[in-house]
Amino acid sequence: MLQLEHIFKTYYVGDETVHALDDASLHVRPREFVAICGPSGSGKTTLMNVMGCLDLPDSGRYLLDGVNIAECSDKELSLIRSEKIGFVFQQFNLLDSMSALENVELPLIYQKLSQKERLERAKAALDQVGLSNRMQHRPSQLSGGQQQRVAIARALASNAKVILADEPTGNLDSKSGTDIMRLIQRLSQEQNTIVLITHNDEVARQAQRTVYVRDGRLYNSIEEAEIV
Amino acid sequence: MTMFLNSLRLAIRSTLANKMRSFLTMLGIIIGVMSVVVLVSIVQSTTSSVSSAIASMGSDLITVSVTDEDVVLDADDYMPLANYSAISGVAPYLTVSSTARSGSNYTSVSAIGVTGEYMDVAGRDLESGRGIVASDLDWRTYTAVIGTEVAGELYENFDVIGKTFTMSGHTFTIVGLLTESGSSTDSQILIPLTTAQRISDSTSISSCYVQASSTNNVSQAQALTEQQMLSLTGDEDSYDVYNMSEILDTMDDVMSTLSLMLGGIAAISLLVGGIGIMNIMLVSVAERTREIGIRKAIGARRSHIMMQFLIEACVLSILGGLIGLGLSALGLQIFAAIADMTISLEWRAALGSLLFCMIIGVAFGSYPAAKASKMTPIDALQRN
Repeated sequence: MLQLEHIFKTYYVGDETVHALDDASLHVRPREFVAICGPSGSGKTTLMNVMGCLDLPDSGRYLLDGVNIAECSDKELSLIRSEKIGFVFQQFNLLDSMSALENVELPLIYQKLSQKERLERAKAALDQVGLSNRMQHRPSQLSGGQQQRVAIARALASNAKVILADEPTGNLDSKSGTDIMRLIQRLSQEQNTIVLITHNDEVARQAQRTVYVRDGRLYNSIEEAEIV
Repeated sequence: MTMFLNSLRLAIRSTLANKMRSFLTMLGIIIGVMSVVVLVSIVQSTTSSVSSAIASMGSDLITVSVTDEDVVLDADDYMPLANYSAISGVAPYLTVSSTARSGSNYTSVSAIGVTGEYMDVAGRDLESGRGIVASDLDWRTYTAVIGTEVAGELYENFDVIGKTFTMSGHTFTIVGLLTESGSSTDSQILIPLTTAQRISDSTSISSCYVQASSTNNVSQAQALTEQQMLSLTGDEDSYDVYNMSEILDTMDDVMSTLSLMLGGIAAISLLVGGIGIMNIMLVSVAERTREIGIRKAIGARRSHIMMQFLIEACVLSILGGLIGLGLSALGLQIFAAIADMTISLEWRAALGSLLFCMIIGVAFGSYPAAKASKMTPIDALQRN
């Protein structure tokens, strides 16, 4: 599903060179639930940006659903983000000026669906995350956990094949966090491919497989990562 | 299409969300549109009322006026012109400004002392009654033919034949009513030339209309008239002879230059309004960087973002334009009521300025919109 081969990404911050991704290779199979775990600054957000086609690697090959991302135009990348990837961010990233329903509808507008179809799918997605009674609320009128569930509904509504979640519980209290993780578990059982990024081992343990990131390099076990 | 409607809905919503800011931004456009439309409309309406007055007199009309106060001519001095075959009519006249009263109503008028030929030559028609005739001049009667506006002011109706009014200490009997022309001639009163001479205590006639027998020999008639005037006065600087169509052409030229110039100056304020829109759109893009990032992350293309901000700029400018047009129509009506003129909204200026608003929206919205669309999603997302 997601295939990263020898990905390099370097940032220059002032005089300093940051190897955010250093020969990173990763293969996520369809319907797999993978956690990517690492301390802050380890390069896990860069990894997620590359996987989400928000950023292009300096070198290396990235195949998403068989498509080589490096060969895609800006327009094609937008299409991939629209149809294949659903993002769930730590800061929720909902639009404050819109209701929950409109936020969930938004990706569907870019998929050029009819209004009727949009409404049906958005309502179904909100129903799936248990928020059908909060559809007309603005994000500011919802709790953090509820906002994150709207964000998950937004990812689900677009029928994305891959859900990329960047610290989805990072801004939530532990109870809401547990709820969100339960929801993500359920989505995993419902045949979604999920990549979860976290610095929290406990959260990571709920995935089928955990990949550890240290200084831009990927390791398959914590021991391996610790040795370096 | 759905994309467009959605962007439009969003743009209207974000315009309404910042009401004060949107209004202040639009104010530049509103003032710009108002100045273009109001100025051009006033100039055009004035021009058309003056030119219709001139045109109603006919292009075969030649106007003679003595400019030197020391030259004294009487009506008979002009009459030999009538003998030329190129000239079909000669109508010397004398204008007296006065106030006409009837009961408690009064109005200021220009009373024109005329001969029997005047109405034919000057192209005036009767609505009812009769005109001034030769016997009126012989007897110096206090008879008058009045314009519709005078009738309205004095009697509030047009049933005026046989009624009387006083002017300059004399009582005049109305014998005729002129057809409404829609110009300043509606507030004229025609009286016998000899009566006018008596009122003004002067026999000197300094104005005369000469009518060419056809539009083809206007220049010949004009040359003959000039020749006659030169022999009468002996000084070619003491009189003016001109043809109405000449005046009309000159005035049209002057007025269209004037309205173009005023319109141009006003268009600069529209341009300034456009810069205001660009400014606020740049602020809006900066404020909504995060929103742009989110939209891009969930699948918006460059063109979607571009369209969204472009439409928002156009909504601001076109809405401003429409409000400006509405206020112009209102302002013109108020102005017309105060100035007592008929002023119609100049549609070409209105359409032109609306079109200009659209162009401004696109032109000044493009840069901020392009700036927004070119942001990379992570840059936009990471900014707060």
